[in-house]
Amino acid sequence: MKIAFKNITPLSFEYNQKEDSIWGFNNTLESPGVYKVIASSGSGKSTLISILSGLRSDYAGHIEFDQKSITDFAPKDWSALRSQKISLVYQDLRLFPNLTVRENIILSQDITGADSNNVMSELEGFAKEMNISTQLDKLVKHLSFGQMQRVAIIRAMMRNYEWLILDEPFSHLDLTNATIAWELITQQAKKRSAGIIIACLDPYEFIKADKIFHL
Amino acid sequence: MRSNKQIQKILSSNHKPFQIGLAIIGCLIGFFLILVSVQSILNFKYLFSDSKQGIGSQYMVINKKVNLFSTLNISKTTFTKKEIEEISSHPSIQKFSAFEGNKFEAEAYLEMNEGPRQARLRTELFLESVDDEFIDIELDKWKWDSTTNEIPVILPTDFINLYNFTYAPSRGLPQISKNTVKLFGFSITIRGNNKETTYKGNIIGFSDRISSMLVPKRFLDFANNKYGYPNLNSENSTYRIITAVKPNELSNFQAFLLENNYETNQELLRNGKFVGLMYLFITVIFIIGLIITINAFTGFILYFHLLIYRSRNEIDSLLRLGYSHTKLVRNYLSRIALIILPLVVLALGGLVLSQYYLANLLFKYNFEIPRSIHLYSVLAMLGVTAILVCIFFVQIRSELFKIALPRKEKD
Repeated sequence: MKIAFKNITPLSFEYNQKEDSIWGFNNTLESPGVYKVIASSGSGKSTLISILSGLRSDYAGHIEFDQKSITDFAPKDWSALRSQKISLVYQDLRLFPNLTVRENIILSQDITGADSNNVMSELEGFAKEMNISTQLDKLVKHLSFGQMQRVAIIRAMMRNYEWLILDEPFSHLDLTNATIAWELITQQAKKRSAGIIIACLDPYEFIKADKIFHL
Repeated sequence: MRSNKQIQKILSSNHKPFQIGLAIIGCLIGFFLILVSVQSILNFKYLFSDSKQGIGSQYMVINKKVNLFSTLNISKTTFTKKEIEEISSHPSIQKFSAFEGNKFEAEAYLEMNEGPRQARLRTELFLESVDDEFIDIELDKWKWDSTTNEIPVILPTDFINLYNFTYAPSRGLPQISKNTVKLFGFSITIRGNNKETTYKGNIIGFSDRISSMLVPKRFLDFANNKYGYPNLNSENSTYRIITAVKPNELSNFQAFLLENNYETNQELLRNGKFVGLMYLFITVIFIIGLIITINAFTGFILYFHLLIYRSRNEIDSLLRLGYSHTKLVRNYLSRIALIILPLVVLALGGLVLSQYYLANLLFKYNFEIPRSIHLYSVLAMLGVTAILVCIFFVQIRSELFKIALPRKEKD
């Protein structure tokens, strides 16, 4: 699936026009491919992710998913896109604090209708690799933010998607855990021939991207 | 879906059932009042129908008011053809008949021998006839043909009551029962048109409905024709009309009588007022029930708005995962259904019990209403519920729609 940005500009804040920015240019992102968006605080990373995921509409220009403009999307179109085409890790994670880690992930899997065979072993495998296997049956509200970030990453990886969109997914992870997580993310995306958009404050040298945008 | 339980848990995290307790109680009361009022109207209709144990048709004898002008013979108290047609075609009327009076002279003689006392009663008579369908006694003896000289007569019950309780005690005469009176033979002499004949009067019964001395219509037609004075026979002589009024139309018919300045039995008119008042009372109960129900439903809608507002983050998170907003609407609808359906069942159960109790109670007073509730009551309940649930659906859907669509600015 292609994502085309056609001269989009945010309406809610002033932005600095840079040569390799997404704001104000035409860009097409193709999957599979890794796209890194590096930006300092307040330059519009989360705004971009919110626009891409249909949470905000305060922008000018057009965004197209497979040549279909998202401007005219009805709630059912967003629901279909979110459940089948894009999988996100939000900056504020959007986990359900009163559910366990396992319940959070299974619920998300159920909504997306992803293949549920071997789901438990896959989930346990990911949790082990990301050092949270002992937390699976704990309520999310009892985890640290770093642990929650890892849960959100596992949740995003175990859904159906053509694009994995990550908004500062490693902000509370140490370098080792962030590297492990990135390895897993790229492996899973490759399996599905999915594209990755990752927005972060830090350049994270271990993230090898096909294209880097600066906001 | 494996995660239904989790979704219920997420959406219920801010659910505080005691906050809608009042709305639940209000809704139950409102539902019950609506049901009671609809069922009461149906019970009334049943009571006022022609059912065996119902109140049945109300018979009214109508005449024009006698006033100074009619005394001075300036205005007439007879009904014109147009007026008769207007009355007979009134939608409240089930049956109709004009009284026909005698247009000849008639006298009755009665001789009584009771021990040492003897009495000879003589009185002038006025005779009237109406269609047989208005006669409130068995009709097997209510026949006359020109080959006999016996005339069947029906007396008003008031006559014998007046004699027994007023005349007889004041004159020291014995009281007499209805059956004894029926055994009396009395003579009726008819005179007019230069002819005179004496018939034997045969009292066959007493009427509670008509306060007049009744003879068969066939006889009166014959006698008026033979003995009637020509000047009287040529005149319009309908002074009184008897009608059977639909019981639930008494108040309508009363309005018609007042409008046309006609008179009838005031007691019946009071019944009409009572029926009208009862309908008004039931309508008020219905309106109160509806208002309570609407208020309770408004309570539910406000509560669910609040619930959605409190769960906005959770709902937003579900939508971000791709959970369909129509499924969310269905989820909230099933929640309201889980509250409303037991209330509908409870209200219907209450109505079934109260109807059964009321039917038994009325039966003791010789009235009959069905022991089971009417289908229309159930349909009215379902109709009101369906309308309110539709309003709920529209409200909740639009609220969730607002969350599901991209926003113009950051939260």
